[in-house]
Amino acid sequence: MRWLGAAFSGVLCLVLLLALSSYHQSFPALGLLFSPYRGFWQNFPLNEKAEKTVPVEGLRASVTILLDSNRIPHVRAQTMHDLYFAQGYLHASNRLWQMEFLARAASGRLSEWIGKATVDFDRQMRRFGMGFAAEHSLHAIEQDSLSRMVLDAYTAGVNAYILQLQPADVPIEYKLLSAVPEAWSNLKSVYIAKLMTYDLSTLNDDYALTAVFKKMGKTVADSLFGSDTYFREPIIPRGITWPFSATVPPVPDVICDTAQIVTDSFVVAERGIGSNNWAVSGRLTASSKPILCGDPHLRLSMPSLWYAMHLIGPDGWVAGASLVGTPGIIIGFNEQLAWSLTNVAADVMDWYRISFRDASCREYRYEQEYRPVHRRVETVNIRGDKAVLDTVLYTHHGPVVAFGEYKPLRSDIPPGCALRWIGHDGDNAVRAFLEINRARSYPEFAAALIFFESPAQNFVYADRQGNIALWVNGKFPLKWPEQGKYILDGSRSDHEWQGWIPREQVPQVRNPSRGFVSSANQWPADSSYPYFLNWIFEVGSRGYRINERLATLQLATVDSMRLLQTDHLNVIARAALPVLLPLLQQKPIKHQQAVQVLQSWNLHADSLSVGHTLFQTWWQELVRLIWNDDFARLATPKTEATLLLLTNGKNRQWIDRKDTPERETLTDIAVAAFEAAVDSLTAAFGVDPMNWRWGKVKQTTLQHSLQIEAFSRRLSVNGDKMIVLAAGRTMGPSWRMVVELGDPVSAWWIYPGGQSGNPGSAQYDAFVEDWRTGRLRRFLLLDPELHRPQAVSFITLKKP
Amino acid sequence: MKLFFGLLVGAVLLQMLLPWWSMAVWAFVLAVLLADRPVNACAAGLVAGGFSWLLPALWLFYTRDHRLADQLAQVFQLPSAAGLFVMAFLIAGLVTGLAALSGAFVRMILLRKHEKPSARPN
Repeated sequence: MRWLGAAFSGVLCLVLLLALSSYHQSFPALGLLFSPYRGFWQNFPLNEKAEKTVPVEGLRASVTILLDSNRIPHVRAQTMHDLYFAQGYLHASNRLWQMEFLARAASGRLSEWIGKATVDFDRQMRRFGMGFAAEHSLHAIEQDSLSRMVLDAYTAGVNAYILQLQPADVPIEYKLLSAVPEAWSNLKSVYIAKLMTYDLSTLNDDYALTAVFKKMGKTVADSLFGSDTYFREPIIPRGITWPFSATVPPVPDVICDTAQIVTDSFVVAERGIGSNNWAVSGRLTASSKPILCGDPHLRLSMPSLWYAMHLIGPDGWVAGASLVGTPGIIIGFNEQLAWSLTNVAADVMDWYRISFRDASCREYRYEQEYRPVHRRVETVNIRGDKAVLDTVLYTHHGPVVAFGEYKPLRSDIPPGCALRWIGHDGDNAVRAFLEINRARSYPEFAAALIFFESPAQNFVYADRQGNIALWVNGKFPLKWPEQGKYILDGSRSDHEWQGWIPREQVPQVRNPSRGFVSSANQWPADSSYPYFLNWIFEVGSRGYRINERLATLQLATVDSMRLLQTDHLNVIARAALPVLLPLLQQKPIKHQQAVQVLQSWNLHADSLSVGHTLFQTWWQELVRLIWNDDFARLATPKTEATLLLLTNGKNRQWIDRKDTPERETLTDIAVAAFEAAVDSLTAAFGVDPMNWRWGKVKQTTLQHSLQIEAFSRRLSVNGDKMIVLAAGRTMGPSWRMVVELGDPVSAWWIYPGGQSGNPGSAQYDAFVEDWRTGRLRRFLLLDPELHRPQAVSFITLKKP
Repeated sequence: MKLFFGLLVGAVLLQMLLPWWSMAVWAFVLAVLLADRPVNACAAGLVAGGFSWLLPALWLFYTRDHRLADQLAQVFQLPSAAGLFVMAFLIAGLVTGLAALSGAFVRMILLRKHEKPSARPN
């Protein structure tokens, strides 16, 4: 009996201990998690100490940090090394888990944490050549002693924090995953930069368009997927004369390789990444000082990708948004100037069909010769399972991403094709942002831009001397017109990128006569610009609306700029409704009440508006009815092609539906789409139109990376994609900033999130409500040496 | 009572320095040394272990900003943050209860072996 009891209770106890200590298929190890000594209870934040001194190994001298009421750190260091060391330390102390998550996502190492569920994602990132890309850039950075010093210092700062971190204090997500923080490295920072390049420069329709080209012919592809746009408001004002003569490569006899179309099912990625920025000259402002505005739109996450900082070093200060996991300030201002970014989305990735010599895939044809294939073995370690070994074939173009048995998650990756992507080239973003942060005049800023290669950005600029400028800046491949719109032939030298557009010949403008510069990811320049950058850019609606308002501007103030950032007039509806609404009068409509709602709608994508919900749903149905019969499972023509069809009568032949015997008119389609829209809204949200209010239907989500609902935020926000206030369901203005270049420079900002990455902290979502309602906060420019009494908390990092 | 307080104080002190499962080792060892009846040892282990988590958890909850508790209750689909305390008490209690129980049985086995020669003649 005693033996039996001892054995039974002993075994039961051991089994329980084991069960409580192990992480199983995203179910946490409860023993560690619930322990009040090391578990989640320890993540309840303590009241901040007003003053603390932390001895930190690796500093050259002491660094002082003043945290203001927004918990923005104002960091003062005597050397550049210590400044970036402190930045790494602060990033880690606020966002350590997020940093490691981003680096793991970029490098295809999530499965080590999560298990099987993320293996396909990891394999895709690796097959895309993220490691290949990051290693090249790290090499470029480490070749440059200044960049290396900065990145080494940053990494040392992160690791100094990790070293001091007690098990009880590791971020809650580590405890949920039963994981421990891994040492930081320079490579991890580079991976995070590459993740931005991946997000911002790998949108492409090459595969789907090749299918269109093959199935419908070049004429259709040209007319519906061409450069004709409804909104004609390029970034660089029309009528500029380019101060250089360009040599553009000739178009070869074959422009598209259609041999590799093995599917007719494309889910074409919806464009959504877009941002706004502009600068207004002092001539148009109340204070006679230039004002610069920026709001980069990205996937909205909790915590935010941004962490606001004010860095005071030996040669001046810089403030603004830093990207967690990387050194420097990405969007911001200093004592002389300010800058902000929007994405260019030039065509900097192309697919090359590879002809292997034989089934062994050891060589591939290039012109008259065979070239060797290089193999790179990727090992994806998986929690609770054995590792997956993946051999990726590399040609001189780049990796063959989809090949053999492997099916990628993305549907825009053609099988058997090598990827040529700007991200694979070794660039040095550390030096680029270091130089931008240190620039104090227009010539210095322009010189700094040359260091920045990818992902190409529209850099808006303003300074205290009264200059405003905009550069469509990055390293752009020199291409023949429309090169890379379709899949290319990997064996032809004339299908390769033909060099680079000279850096001084990128589209740029300084102090234009209209008194403002702006960009919203639309076409960089009109057709007079000699080089090919891409065949499509973002819908021009935001750029059009911004310029429309800036053109009538007088006596602009910070507040009027804030209101423009939150403008949510739907200019697409403004263009389409005069054509569409009269059509509803021509046939009997079931839903008269809904027609009246649209007729009285003020065209604003207000969160309380039912009109915008109705219009958007109607528009989606209309697009589906016009295009899906012809282009089902191919690339669907974009918004501007639909607008041109409606308003200019171009391409009306597509209106008739091929899948019905009748010959439909635009009226038939518009009415059918309207009825279908109202029916689908009724089915989804009930008959009461109060439940159709836009904010409720859209639900902008700030998503936590582990998809934990309690750590995410769902909000009712004004705006929509393709509208100046571009708050969509998952994407939106990730950082808003208005800077007045007076004496001194003054700045206002907000971002959806908070400075702390701890979901249990009041600082986790402290800025969310102000962001939602379109308010800005003043960027206090405090100095730890001068403003100590204004500190909420004051930290001294002391050399031991 | 001696076992209960020994378990509670020891578990608290050990867990301040060592991983959470050190309390199970302590409960086993202490039960081998002090237990009288297995059922008493098990009860003492359950309550002492449970309190060794419940008390500091309550202290952290009331002295700090505890909004994270509501979020985690949502993650574990508990009706409220109070459920977290119940779970913490049960996890720690079951582990130490079982460890103390097996310790008590082992003590009985050891005692029986030890007592056998002297006990038999009677």
